[in-house]
Amino acid sequence: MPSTYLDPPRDVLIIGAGPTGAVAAKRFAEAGMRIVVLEQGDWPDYSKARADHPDFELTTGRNWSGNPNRRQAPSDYPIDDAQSDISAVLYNAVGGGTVIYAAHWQRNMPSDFRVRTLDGIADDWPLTYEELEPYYERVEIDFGVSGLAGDTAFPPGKDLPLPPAPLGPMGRIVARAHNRMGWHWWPAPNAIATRAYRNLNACTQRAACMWGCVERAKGSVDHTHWPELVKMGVRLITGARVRRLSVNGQGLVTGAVYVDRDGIEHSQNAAVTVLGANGIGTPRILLLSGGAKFPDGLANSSGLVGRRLMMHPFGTVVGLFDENLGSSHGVWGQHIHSLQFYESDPARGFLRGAKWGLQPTGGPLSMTRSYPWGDNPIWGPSFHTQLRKRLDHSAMWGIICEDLPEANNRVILDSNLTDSDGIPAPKLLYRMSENSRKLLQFHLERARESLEAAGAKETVIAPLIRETGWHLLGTAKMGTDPKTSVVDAWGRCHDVPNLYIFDGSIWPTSSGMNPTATIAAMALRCAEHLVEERKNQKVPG
Amino acid sequence: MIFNATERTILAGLADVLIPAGNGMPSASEAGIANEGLDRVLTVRPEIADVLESILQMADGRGSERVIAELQTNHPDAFGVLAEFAAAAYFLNAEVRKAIGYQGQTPHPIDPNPDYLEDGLLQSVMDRGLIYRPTGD
Ligand SMILES: Cc1cc2nc3c(=O)[nH]c(=O)nc-3n(C[C@H](O)[C@H](O)[C@H](O)COP(=O)(O)OP(=O)(O)OC[C@H]3O[C@@H](n4cnc5c(N)ncnc54)[C@H](O)[C@@H]3O)c2cc1C
Repeated sequence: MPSTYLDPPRDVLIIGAGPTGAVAAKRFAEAGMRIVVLEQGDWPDYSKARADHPDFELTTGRNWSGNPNRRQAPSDYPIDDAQSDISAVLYNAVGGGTVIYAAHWQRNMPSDFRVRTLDGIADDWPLTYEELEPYYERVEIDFGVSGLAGDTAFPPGKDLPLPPAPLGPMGRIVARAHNRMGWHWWPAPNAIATRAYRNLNACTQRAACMWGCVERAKGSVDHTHWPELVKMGVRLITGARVRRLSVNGQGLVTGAVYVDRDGIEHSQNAAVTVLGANGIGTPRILLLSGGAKFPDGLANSSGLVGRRLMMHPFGTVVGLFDENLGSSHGVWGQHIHSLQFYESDPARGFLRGAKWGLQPTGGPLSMTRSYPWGDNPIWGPSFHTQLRKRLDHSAMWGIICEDLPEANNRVILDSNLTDSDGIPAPKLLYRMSENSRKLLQFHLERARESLEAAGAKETVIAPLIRETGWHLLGTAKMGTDPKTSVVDAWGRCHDVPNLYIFDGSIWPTSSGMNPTATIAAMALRCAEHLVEERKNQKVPG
Repeated sequence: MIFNATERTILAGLADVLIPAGNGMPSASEAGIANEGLDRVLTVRPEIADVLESILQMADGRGSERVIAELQTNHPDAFGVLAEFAAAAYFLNAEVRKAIGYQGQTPHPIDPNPDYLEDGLLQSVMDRGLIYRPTGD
């Protein structure tokens, strides 16, 4: 038996079957390329989705936790987060994070691509909103995005493929308040099918998007992309954990070495390799792949691989209302969003901003938990009155704060911890910056005012919880100068011309938006460029 | 772990401190949380059993109120597990669900008639104009 199996070579090897891998694979497959995808996870098991059972709320944390350290599934790698203010949450499966994402579908705003020019800090992106717009439009069709054109926080654009989710009583009451205050709001965009669409069913508003959608209504790529891609001939290998990339004497990547679930090592060769393993998985693979020749990691002559990690500190404010808002149900998902305070205003004492998404609060068990309710007591004699005050009578703003890039916020390899295959685990070094703290505080206060203006009798600012690092960005910066960036404007590694990174690692700044819309649009733009330039692509001889 | 009748009585007593009867609602024990409720919770969250067992050991014949106060102060994680168990078992009781008007995450098909056009809601936003910083590219 050979110690390493040689799998048949392909034109393109993609690592990771999340939205980045899915969008890229689709474009390559359309161009007739032969593709292999290595994914350490399995197809999601929706038999564990319990939204249609009475024990639903009790099972969410066990079956659908976003924290790999808690899940400890065979597909997971541990993450040492002891030196990080925020724990990373992600999902390792066909579909990646979209299996459990809330499907808030937010484009970045034009200013997000011009942070240096407009605010004098951090960096500009080597592209503009206008350049990315056609790619947003195309991925929105594939993900089945619902929403309404004409949002005043964005340049005028085309209709989305599906109408927006209902505002519901909750959205309407807050929208009316914002109109009185002159604050922005808009029916929120979500990757949630508000009508039957392609192979998605219509959403039935069970407020269960993050814990296994029983309806197959959420635009997660295990539904929207992979079944079709497999039919098109894309070779998707699950349970395949990449140990390292292989590099030849010319400094080109020849593919990857991966371990299957039986512990058997395989060598998968390809002309071009694309990383879509997210802001933690991607730098981990690069750092693992340096070998003796590149002790600091592959594609790392800039020293920036793993640095500039941005995770979007997250805040929540809940309001309690006399009115029945029906807030145990709805998309979850967001009903309305507000970008009133998104753009920088130096007078506030910090730069950049945050997006707010109005969300349901869930069923009765969720009314008793320490998040988002903090120390506000429910137990004891007031239990029944508190429960009635909260259940269906509460609305919640979720606040995504822009995090600026800092060289010392980073992903490194852990010197002790490994995954179940003995591969070094990533370790996070991350401290929330002063700017992020001030930004979060400001937005929490404004969000409280919003709910009070809407008639909330009480408001609760949720305690900051660690497990909110669901946006993993910035660890392989995109730019034009190889000295100060890892990849060029098309995701190609400056140091390794047939190695590409398409995921959120390449973001020069993080925006204050949920990132998947932009991750998907960027993956399409980068993939398309690779297809167009394939004649000139350097490949191993 | 099979909790015996004595242990179940102790758990019921602790849960009653968290969820007493009142406002026309039964207490935790009246809602059967330590009987059928406990069994149903453990079926889907078996890992809770260990924590409940250690709480039982800690209780050691002392009054429920004192035990709860100590858990809250000194063992917040264990308190969290007890509270999650008590509330989950309580809300699994069909009568309780009916009384609080919650029938589960039942399907609510989306009404095709848009509710964002009511009362000129959106017009008001549009009248305020564009709010993004153009980048001029
Ligand atoms: C709970 C939660 C809620 C979220 N909500 C939202 C939201 O509302 N809106 C939004 O825009 N975003 C949301 N996100 C973020 C969103 O899920 C991510 O932005 C998105 O999934 C990133 O896509 P990706 O393909 O780059 O990476 P991922 O989706 O993380 O996929 C990477 C894949 O690579 C695989 N992989 C990694 N390393 C290896 C290896 N060594 N070998 C083989 N395979 C490997 C992983 O198993 C994984 O499947 C949420 C995330 C979570 C966890």
